[in-house]
Amino acid sequence: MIIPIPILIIAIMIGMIVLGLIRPPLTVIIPLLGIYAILMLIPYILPNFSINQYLGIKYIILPVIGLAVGYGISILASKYMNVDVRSLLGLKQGQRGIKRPSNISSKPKVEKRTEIKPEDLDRLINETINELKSGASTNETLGSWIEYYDGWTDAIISISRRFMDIKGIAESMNKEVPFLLRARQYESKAAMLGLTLKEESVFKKQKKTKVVEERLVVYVRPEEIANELMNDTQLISNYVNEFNNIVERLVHDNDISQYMGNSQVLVVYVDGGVPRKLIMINR
Amino acid sequence: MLRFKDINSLVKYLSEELNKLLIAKKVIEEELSKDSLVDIIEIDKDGSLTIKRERITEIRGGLAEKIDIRIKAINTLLEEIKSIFNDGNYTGIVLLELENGIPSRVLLSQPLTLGEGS
Repeated sequence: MIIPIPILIIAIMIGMIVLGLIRPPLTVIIPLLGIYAILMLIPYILPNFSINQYLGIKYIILPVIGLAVGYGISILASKYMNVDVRSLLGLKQGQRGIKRPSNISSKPKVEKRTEIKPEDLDRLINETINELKSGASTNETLGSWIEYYDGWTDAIISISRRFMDIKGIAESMNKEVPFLLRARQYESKAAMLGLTLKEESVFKKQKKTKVVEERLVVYVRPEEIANELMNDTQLISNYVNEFNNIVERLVHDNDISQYMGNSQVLVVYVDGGVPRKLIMINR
Repeated sequence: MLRFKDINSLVKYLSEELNKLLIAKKVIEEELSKDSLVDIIEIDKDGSLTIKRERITEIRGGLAEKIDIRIKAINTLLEEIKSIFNDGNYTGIVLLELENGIPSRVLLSQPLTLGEGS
């Protein structure tokens, strides 16, 4: 035998699985299965004519299984994972029928495009820019929430305190980032010298216990968070700037403070944690 | 992410948040039941001031839900921290990770020390 026998069977299986993945119409499957059945039946039709021991009636089921497996995978993939295996394999079956209507529907689209008048263009561009702006500005840095205070003074003190806290946090993050980056450089240098950076023992011990399940408290290596921390530092700095403007406004704007008098107030933090909204409760 | 110097200060921060939220929740619920009239002052992005008078029921728009989600998130975090550290402290890099503005995870890390290759 030129071809080792199991390889022939494996090749047939792979071929059938691929065929199943493509999900060809029955007019393709039936003739193929027919040819295969005839091949398998050769030893029975011509008893003296033996090509291969695997060409026997026992193995007639193999390609059917292969086909079924391929077909099943293909259907499951398209149903649950939205993967069209046929298009992955570069084959678009049954496209001829669909092609025409898509041609027709694409025509009016082209016409629609030409309908946009130049004077509308400015408006469209402005709308798009506004949309993009609002999309970019609705970041959820710290989320939104509400706080309640008995009086305006309390509210202002608390808002200022929060501002100072966050400003402190931002500053410490700013200091940390270069340090973390240096630690990373340090590690690569150390690695070059044949050294490794060791975690301190407490860290190591606790790290082992975390594997049990998905935890909300996670141990990470400093260099793993360096990049994220860097991005977030930028984010928090922008946030602090915005917060700063609002605090200035709340403290110094006479309109607001006069208006507030000494009423009870709900401070609403919106736009990722900026106290832009004040709700006064009238009693 | 927010950076804290140790677990204690993170717990303090989260507990304060939780308290404020619980108080606000109570007040809002009270006012909602009375359907009281409120004045809303809003400072827009461009710095302009809008003042309007409305019934509180009209402005509730998901805020109560947001508070609830936040309270729940902070509670679970605090519980887990307590179960791990049991009032003990951890000094190092303590980061509070926020997902869509809601406190979601605590990342702990520690500056590395140089050792011999192992």
